[in-house]
Amino acid sequence: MVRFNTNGSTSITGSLTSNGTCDTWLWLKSLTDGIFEDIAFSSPQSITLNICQDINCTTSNLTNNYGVDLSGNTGVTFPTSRAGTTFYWVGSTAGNTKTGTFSTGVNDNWCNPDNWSLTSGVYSGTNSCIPGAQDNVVFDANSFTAGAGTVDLDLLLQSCNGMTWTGIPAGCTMDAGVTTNDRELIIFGSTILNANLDNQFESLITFFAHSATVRTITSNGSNFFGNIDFDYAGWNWTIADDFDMNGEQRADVEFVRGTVNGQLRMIGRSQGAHIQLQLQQLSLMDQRHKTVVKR
Amino acid sequence: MTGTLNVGAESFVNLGGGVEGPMTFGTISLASEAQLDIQNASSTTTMANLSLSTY
Repeated sequence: MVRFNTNGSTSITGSLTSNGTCDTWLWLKSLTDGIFEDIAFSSPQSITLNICQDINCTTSNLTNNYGVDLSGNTGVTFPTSRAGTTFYWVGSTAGNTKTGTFSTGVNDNWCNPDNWSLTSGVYSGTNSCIPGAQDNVVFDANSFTAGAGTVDLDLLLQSCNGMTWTGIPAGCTMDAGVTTNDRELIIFGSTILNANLDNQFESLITFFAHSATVRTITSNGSNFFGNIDFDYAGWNWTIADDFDMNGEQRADVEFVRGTVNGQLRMIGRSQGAHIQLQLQQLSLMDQRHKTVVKR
Repeated sequence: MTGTLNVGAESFVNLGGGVEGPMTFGTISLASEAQLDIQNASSTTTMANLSLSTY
């Protein structure tokens, strides 16, 4: 990923080489989400399968083939632009041997195409792609017909549009097999968790946006374990029910930009604390036995 | 800076650190899952070549 300077400008006098794949997305974006950055090329440049956000190509000579026009891009051409679709998790679906054509191994990793399908419960053994920022992800009853399982967010950066957990059996976990806390999940759409999900993802979840649609976060009795950022100027999130941070000292929330409506309950830290939020910029940090709110 | 700045897999580099000042580079090359932030306030950054890799 390259995040270009928002306040200054960038000039590339030679070539830009950035050819991703649908199981390894490359990102070009601005340093500050929602605010474009200026970039100029001395000659026309052609890249493939990049996710672009807030790129203002002042020389209008950047072509992103099969790429994703996430939002805020100008001067960039997107031939055969890749539209969002829905990926279903089949990592614990009966019959999934994880030895398919594009498998990265017998694992529960997000980055493994063999754990994803474009049809609920159908393991083909030939899926070659993983979700990108434009795609919805669904974890449903058909995802776990072989029994409760885990989903490991193994990449430094993984992303999706909407995320839905529904109808899953008891005992399902997110990130039970990964313990490092240097990773990030970016969710651009709405989020629906499930009471049978034990969310152990202890890295950063960032709620971003790329349109004016109000995003809804519904926990349904599940929880968040790591750090949470809300970060996109001018957009809105609604927290539909208790937003439980259950990650001991890891569970910090930062409202960088945007508006959040709802309540947060800090289980095990500030038991039963409910905070009503209507804000443009706020930083909240739950520390031992106290809650600090700064705006 | 002349020559090539290679950013290894899963590495993070911040150029500028938020401080004002123009920067000029030869080639910047990023390996898989590397992240490059350009953050030199309102200054201009110029580079000859920029390369992002999936591996």
